[in-house]
Amino acid sequence: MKRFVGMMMGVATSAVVFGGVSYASVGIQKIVASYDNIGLTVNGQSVATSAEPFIYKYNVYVPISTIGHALGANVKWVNSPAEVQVEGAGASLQPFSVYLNGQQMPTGLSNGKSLYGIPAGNSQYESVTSLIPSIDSQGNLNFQGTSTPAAAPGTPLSTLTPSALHGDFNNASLYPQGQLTGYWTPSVLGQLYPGQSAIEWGVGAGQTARLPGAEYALNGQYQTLIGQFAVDDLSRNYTGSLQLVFVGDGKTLGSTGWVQGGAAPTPFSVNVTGVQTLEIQYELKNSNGTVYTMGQTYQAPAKNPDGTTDPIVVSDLMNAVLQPSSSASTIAGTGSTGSATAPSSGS
Amino acid sequence: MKPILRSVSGYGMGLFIGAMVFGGVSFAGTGLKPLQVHYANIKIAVNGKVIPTSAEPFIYNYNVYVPISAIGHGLGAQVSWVGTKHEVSIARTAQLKTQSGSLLYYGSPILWYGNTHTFSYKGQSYVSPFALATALNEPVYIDPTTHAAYIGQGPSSGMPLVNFPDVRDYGNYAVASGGYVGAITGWKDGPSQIAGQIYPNSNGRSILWSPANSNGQIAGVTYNLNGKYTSLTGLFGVDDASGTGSQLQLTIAGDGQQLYQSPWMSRGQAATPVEVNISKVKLLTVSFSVKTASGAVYTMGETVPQGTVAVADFVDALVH
Repeated sequence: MKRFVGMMMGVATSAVVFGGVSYASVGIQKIVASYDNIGLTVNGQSVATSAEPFIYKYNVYVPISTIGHALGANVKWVNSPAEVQVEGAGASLQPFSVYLNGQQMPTGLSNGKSLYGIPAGNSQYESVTSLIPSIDSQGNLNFQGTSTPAAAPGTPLSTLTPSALHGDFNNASLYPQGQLTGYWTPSVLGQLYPGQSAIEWGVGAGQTARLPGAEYALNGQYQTLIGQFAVDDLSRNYTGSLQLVFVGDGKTLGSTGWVQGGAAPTPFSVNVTGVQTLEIQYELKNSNGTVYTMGQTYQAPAKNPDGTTDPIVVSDLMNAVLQPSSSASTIAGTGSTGSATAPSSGS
Repeated sequence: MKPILRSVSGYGMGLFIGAMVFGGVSFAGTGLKPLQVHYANIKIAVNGKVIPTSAEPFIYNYNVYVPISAIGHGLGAQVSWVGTKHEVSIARTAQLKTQSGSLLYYGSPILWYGNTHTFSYKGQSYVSPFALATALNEPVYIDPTTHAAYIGQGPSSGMPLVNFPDVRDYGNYAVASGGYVGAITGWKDGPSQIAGQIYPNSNGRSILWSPANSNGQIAGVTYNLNGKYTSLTGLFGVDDASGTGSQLQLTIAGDGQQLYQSPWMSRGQAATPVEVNISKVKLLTVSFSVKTASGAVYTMGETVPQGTVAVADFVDALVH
């Protein structure tokens, strides 16, 4: 039971108007209350209190601090002017305006402090953003496009089962069932990409990593492999760099060139005409210039040099599509090293 | 002559103040009981707002008592009198239900985001505008007074540059300070002050740097503007908290090209206004340079001599 210490027992007779609520009575009075063993339950639970509720002038009176506390609120007494302050009880949400690129959207609700929400399942938000939010029973929030993004024509590499896996890709505890995609959402320069179709490799602090690779049986069916390769925003400040090397039937076809964080994804286009087996090899160059090739062991530092984040380097191979042979677009006379090595556009 | 009474109850006439004349009252439980209560014009405030009550609260035996109707309306709880049980039942009406979970995009988790709150209120689900802005790769700004949210395009005053996620950090900004990697946007001991002029709104929308004690590596930061903004404005100068030995310079680059370089600024010099055309710029980099008393110049990423005192304030950095 809360004790209101230090309160003034003096008697004043004038009514005071305060906050639009004014009472006429001030001072000590004797009243006659009717007790009837009135019990108190809050949210179904019986609340034992020595401050038993009673009836007075047809009202049932209850001790506000007992109720407030039982409802999970904070109850505080202020002496002068006399006030009981109850905080955290009930929902006090106010609407707030939302502007999306200058366009006014349906209002959200906020408690003015840490809780802000915009309505989900709202057709105006969905048509303007092309995103549909959904919340699962665990409270996870998923944003998905209103329409599946148009993929480049061809066979997405992520839909093919590799014929062989090397390095970390071959580690079943890291990549169960040889699944190389969908562990996280790639984020490059703040732009998000669907993870389901991205081949993902990362190295955590202290990890003994083995540079990975994957082989695909193309059986001469395809002409070009296109895609994008990037160092993810998770490791945007990584001082080393990564590259992909493309090997067809044992012959180097090209590479992405060394790629760093804080840069746009590096596009690549590899001529795989007539290639039976394509191998994609990962390579890492650390800040000292030491290069680790596919299969080699790279011992990651125990702690990220930035002092706080965990992954040392995270990479995303996105939108990789094998384009079929088509006589109209066969490039004659370009030789066997037909790759584009776009320079990494760092800032 | 009838005793003078304040009219206090409808129970029993002939009641005397100070006299207990009830026979057969069981003080252990039921029946009428005279109470000495204290009225003090007590107000009840819930979440900062005074609520009206059908009858005035009073103090009895160190507790403040209110009629149960006040509880119902004021605390957003449902109150019912269960006559058969002689019970007051109070239940919080569960209007607001909050949840916290991961943020996903096309079903895969965004690992760097951390938890996101969702809530449902009166049957409608609500999601965080910060989460939506992340999914859209747009900055978001919430007006501290009106609480209006601006996603992408800022209010008429502009979108704070520091509200964009940093896509690359250099020098001291690339090493965690207080568990956080990225640009310093405010000073702990108050807003920026340059040549006696205080910039009261600078904290939270400025890019600030001072060499860290043990390792003063000149800082820089890059933001992705997606080519959507036309100008960058702000003020640059040396904070009054700085020493007088060094001079500081601000450099703005867009997609690798230098767009703006301030004059060398000294402590005590009024802040120089910054206005840079950033039309179509995607990657915008803000960095500093230091010129020590000896005339040696250090640029982004370089380590300044130990003991160099230099406090750079790029104040109110906004894009339009």
